[in-house]
Amino acid sequence: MKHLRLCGILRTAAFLLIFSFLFNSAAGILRSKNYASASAAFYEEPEGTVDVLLMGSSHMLNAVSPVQLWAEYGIASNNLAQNGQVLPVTYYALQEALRYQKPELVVLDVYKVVQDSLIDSKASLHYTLDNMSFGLPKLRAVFDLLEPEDRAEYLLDIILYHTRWKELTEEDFQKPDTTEKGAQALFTTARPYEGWTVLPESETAPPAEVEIAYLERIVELCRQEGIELLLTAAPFTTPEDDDLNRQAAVNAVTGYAEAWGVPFVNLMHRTEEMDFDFSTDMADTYHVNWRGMEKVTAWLGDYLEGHYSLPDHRGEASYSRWDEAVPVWRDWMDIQLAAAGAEAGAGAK
Amino acid sequence: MLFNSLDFLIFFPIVTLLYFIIPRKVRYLFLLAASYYFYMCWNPRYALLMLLSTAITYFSGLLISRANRIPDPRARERRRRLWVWLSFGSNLAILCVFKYLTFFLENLTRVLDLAGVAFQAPAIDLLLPVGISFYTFQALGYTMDVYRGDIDAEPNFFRYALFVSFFPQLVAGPIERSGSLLRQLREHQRFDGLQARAGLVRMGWGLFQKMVIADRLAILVGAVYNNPAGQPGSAVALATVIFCFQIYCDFGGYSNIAIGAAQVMGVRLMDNFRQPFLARSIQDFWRRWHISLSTWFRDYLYFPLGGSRKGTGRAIANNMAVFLVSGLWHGAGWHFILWGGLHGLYQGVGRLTLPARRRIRGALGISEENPVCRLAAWAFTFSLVAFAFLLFRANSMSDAALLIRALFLDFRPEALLGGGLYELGLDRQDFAAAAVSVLVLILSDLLQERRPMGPVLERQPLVLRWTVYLLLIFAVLIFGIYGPGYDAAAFIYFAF
Repeated sequence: MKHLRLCGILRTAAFLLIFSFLFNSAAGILRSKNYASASAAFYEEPEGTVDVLLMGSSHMLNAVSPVQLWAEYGIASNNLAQNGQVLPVTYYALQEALRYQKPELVVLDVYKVVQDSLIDSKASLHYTLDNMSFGLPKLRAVFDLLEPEDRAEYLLDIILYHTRWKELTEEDFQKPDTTEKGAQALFTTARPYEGWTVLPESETAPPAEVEIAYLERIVELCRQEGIELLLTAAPFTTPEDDDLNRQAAVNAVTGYAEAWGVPFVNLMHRTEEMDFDFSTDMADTYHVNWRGMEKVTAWLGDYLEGHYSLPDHRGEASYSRWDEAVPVWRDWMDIQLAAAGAEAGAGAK
Repeated sequence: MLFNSLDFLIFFPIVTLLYFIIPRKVRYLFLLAASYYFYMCWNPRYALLMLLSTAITYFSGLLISRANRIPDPRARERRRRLWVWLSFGSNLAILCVFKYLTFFLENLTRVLDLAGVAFQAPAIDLLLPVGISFYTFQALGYTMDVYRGDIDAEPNFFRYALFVSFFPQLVAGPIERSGSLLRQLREHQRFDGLQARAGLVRMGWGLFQKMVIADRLAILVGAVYNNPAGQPGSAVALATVIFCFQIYCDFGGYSNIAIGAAQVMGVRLMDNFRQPFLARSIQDFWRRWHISLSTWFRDYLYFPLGGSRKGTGRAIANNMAVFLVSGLWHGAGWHFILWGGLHGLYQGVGRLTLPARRRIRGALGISEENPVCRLAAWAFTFSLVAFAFLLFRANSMSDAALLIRALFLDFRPEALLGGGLYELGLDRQDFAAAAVSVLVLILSDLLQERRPMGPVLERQPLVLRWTVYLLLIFAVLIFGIYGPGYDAAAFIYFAF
């Protein structure tokens, strides 16, 4: 009798195991592949090998290329930023990242202090959480950021994505492309509207309280973990109907950063240093394009070299994959540029 | 809490696990609490209404049993009848107020209007309590069973309350008999791995019927029936046939989940649907469709009216009465009553023409078992049932009239060609998914008609069984209609 019962339990366990495996595979295939590459690039790095984590919203995602940082400075970084990621979400994304990597530095773009909400949109929260491994940070994020009725589709995203059975393509069965190591270069060009200006750094407006609260939590977390934190804000323009408050709110971060004893570099006011041209280096109103990315990355590389003692891993056997990634990325950039009809090859010299 | 919700996916395993862990003596109390919680997830206030019905029928049972001890037979019978009438009267009054008052007042206004009397009916805003028709009938069945001496009155109020509120079958049946369910709730249930597995498979099949078939078909049916004006008859015919499968899978699927859930907990509920669309006569259809309700009406209305013991004419009249009431039970609307009436009529005509049909068959030397004969009988029955379902599904009598007119006078089959088929709410892929899943259903029903599939599956090698289980689960997970943007289509039968 006992033997029979044990047999039953073992069988049930085996069935559940097979089911879980199939469930995971099905959920993975059905999941939307938009924005899956950042997490894929992150999880494929061996544990404890990434020295710098680049975090924040699209402003970071489109502005700093880890492959360029590696090629030119030997800095092992990963871009974990995500479109529409507000600071409360970044806080949990950082917790998740720290489960796998022990970086020396986190570079965080603070543009989202302009937005007064726990999440940007339900969709953009999916970009971050869908590809996050199942663990405490994900659970904390879901329970902290979402109303009870919205939580299920983040914990079990098949609830949302199962209807994609109709639109599956070959891409859904392949691993996401990790050529950019999490970053996302944009290949369009947009000029700011006539009369648009950069506000003086001294002109400030109160940023959103909830964002500042979570920014402070991030500062605290980095302090606890012994990780240096560098706050940045990539150059951006604003639409014509904007009252330039966004710039003013980002300017206000200077005061908070000083109070916390954390460095903040507002790149809006460093554009001359990096030879940034708002009329050619923006992809759209808010985001820098590939030219802008190249300049911001180069500036950041110089800055990191000057202010931090990050190791140069180039040529190390354990980092051979990084060296190999560079020509692949360059070829990829060439193809993208050619496809975009832009000046071929200029993105990856 | 709907069966096809995440809430139930969490609720059910927890309740089942705790049920078998806690001491046997208090299990029924735990299950009662769980059942009330389940019910109160819809609207806590309506639990009071259920409690009231429970109390009335509980005391009616005790009072009838006490009346049984009165020595004088005439006084005894008078007293017994009094309690039965009071129980039926008060319960049906509650049902009428909540379900039919608005309908009654609307019709009263219309009649008075025709008579030239202006009457403004008071606005009544009562939400129909979920499952009221089901538990009321179940509770009334108990009163009658005690009256007839089929079962002893239940002395324990809480156990009786569990009989009325047992969560698997509380809101949409099967409507159980006290002789079966109450008796089982008095016994101790043991956990039985094989039973639990069979129950889970049945729940899985029910979820497939509900989520993959019914909810997908509902989209097409809704597209036609909610916009009846200008629909070509061909679309009406298609939507009507599809509605037959929708309502079967919706209600039959729900019943299967209920029966499966109870089975996991060691309780056997009665079968509610047995391949209804394989019926070859209307009478046969009603032996297969919503069995727990048909047998309820048979036992507690048709037989008391005299059944068929008082001649053909009386039998037809009794049958018509039962089906008119059944129509009304399904919903407060003339189209429901007409649907019931039509089924009464079908059966009446069937009964009257039976001798003639037999004579013709005899004269032609055709056996009833002749394959062509069987096929014709099946097709004829299905057409009659489907036509009646048009009345059932139509949103109103005037809609039904529009649809029937299109069906007979404006068929336009070409409207469905050249992609027209995919304009009815289901795109090409969804239509294909619907077609494949309905084929699976038909195949399963054909096999089930020969022998019950559950035990056959249980005898298969492990690999085959597991493959079937996994296919079922993933069919529901991937092809089921659920998730955000989807307004979890309520089980059709909840409003009855």
